[in-house]
Amino acid sequence: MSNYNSRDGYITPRELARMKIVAQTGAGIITNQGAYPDPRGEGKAYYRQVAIYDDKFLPEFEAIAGYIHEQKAVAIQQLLHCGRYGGIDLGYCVQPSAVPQTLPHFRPPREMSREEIKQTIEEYAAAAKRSIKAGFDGVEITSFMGYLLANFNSRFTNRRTDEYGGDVTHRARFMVELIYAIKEAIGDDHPLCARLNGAELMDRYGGNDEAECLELMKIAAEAGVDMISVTVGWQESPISSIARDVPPGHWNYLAARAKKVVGDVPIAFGVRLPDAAMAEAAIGAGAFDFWEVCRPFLADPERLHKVAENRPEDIKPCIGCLLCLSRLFRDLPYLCTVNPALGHEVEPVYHPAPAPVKKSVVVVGGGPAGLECAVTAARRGHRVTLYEQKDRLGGQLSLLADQDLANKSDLLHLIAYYAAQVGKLGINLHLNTSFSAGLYRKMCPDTDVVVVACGSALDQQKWAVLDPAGALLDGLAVLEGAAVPGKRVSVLGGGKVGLVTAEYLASNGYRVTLLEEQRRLAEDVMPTWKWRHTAWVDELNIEALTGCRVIAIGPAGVKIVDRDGRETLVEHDSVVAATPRVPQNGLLTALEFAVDELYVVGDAVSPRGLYQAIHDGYRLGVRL
Amino acid sequence: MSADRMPDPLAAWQAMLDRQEQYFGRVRQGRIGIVSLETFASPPGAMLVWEMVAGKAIAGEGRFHRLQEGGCDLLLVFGDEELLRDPAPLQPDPFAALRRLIRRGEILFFVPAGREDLLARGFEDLVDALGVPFLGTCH
Repeated sequence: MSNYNSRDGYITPRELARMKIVAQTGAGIITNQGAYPDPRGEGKAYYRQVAIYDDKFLPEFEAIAGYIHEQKAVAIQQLLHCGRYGGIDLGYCVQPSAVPQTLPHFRPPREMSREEIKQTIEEYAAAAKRSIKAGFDGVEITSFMGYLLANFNSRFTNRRTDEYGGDVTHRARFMVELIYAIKEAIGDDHPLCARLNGAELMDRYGGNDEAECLELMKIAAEAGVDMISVTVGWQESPISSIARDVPPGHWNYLAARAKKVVGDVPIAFGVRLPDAAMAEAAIGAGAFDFWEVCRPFLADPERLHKVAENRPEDIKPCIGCLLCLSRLFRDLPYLCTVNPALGHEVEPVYHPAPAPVKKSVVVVGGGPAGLECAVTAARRGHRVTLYEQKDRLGGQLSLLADQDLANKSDLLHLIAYYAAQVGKLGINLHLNTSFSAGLYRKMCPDTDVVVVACGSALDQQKWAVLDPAGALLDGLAVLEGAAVPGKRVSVLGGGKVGLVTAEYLASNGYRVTLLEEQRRLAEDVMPTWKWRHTAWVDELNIEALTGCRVIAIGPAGVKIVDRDGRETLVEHDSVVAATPRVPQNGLLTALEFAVDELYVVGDAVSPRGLYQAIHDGYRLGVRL
Repeated sequence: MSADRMPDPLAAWQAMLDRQEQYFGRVRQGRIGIVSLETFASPPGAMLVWEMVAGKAIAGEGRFHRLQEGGCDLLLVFGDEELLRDPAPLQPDPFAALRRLIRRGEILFFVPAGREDLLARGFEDLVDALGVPFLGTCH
């Protein structure tokens, strides 16, 4: 689901441009995003979800099927009625039983009548037939994420007492009727695939257990599906399934179990499996038959080609940050932190064409913004020199990644990717070198472009007023090991830097109090990741005081005032400040009339996040 | 403890709510229902209600019939029925305790009301304090 399309369900040129790239990934089977099959829009969960309930939508579907066939791949169209998450334009949603959602951003539920169930099945079958008419080879139905098919299959959401409810066999009736209707509509020459949960992760709500999920797969196989894709979780699952706090390969066992029970039906799998080598090993061991890839292709659509050409170091990794889904679930087009071109394939300016004039480019700062700019500029033929004052690349990212409680290798892998590219592209790298106007004058007039990517630093001036003794430690210095606090620590700032600092200290035995002026923690954290930090704060017994302002810092503690004017002394041995951070762009003034082209990217513009840093760097790199 | 001296559940909950004004201050109007797991599984049954008006929460009694008929914006289902009678174990920080119980699955929650509606009526702080991912999440 890209959200690149029009509000009334038509596929747009933006989507077509993206699908051309998707078709060229080298995948043997390519499934187009889920289209809702009903004209009422009950199946529509996203503002820009594509529709397939009428032939008027077909020309663009035909184009997509054509792109896929040009690349000799099999084209599958996913049919998606979103059930309890649907009805985004209607103010209600339909389900087998009217079970309210456990998240607050959906519509009130209505129970489907038998007639409505039959009508939905007919609409699915018609949509399947339409997909074949558009040139797709087969279709896919989805029972995961909490969409309609999953709502019927799950004990949690199906509390019917008629023939569509009850034990797992009865709950599967809707799925079986759907399979039969679609098979009749499209015939045996066109495959029908089904995405089914290997685990719902809705146990605490009385959802299906893994045994019932396996039983549903058996039922689907016996009903005649031609392939089963094993998935994990619902949108409402309180347990992580696909984010980077789940180690890669964690869910492989579900696919392996499914393989044992579904006979000859091939199994596709790819949940939290971003690595081709790991997938190949699992296939070789017989765990499943097809590696299913989505987010890793968003990060790098050329990854399969790079694997085939034996250059894995050139693959940009998916870091599991869920920017894509954070945007999708807020009705925005999805983007990718590490692939700035995603979603912009239709815009020529985003394509790194060879530079018409090759320039000498100096990038100051080896963090993500500087690295992305340097690499992109070098790919276009510019002569790039990169200066970094520390002894390693990565900037703030490397410090935060080293101490991250989630799967830190995802973030470190990204830095390793950039380091490899710096080497392969012949970027002239100077570590342990502080750049200055004086250093620049030594290179003048050979440098055409200077890019200031020096990141941000703690706002020492703000704290100096409150901390005349200079007792404050910088959060990033603590993460680096350059500053070691005493056992009881006050951490000032409950945003991402403060949170990672507090979590690092608490998990290493420090007693931590986290102080935040805003009403809530994690205000600058990706929406789909906020819950992870607040959970760690609770699990690590970090005392979090929000809505409080620091009014004095002393050796005994931090004096704070809350919104009601009450003053409290938070005792500590040390105080660590994570915020506020200010951009480090003093070079702009020093070099303003000294260099032809002078730019600034990343946190040196304004402290934001990894996605903004990489996208800033790329957008400049493709334009130089 | 004699019946004369048993704490009145509503009084105990009201005392707790009165000390948590910071979470209700922005709520213009709303209703939170709390039922036991047994009642939720086999309605009808007694329901504890937090009725919120103009920033104040009042504990009261209600009746739970079905999820969609409760008239509640948020429904909490307590695995520990005793908590419905006496919230003392939630002290000293009841909302932090509730949040932990929700995270551990010992309290379930349902959100019959829509996000925009909840936002418009000032629920954001309250829902956030309970650890409900207000803006949505996908794990």
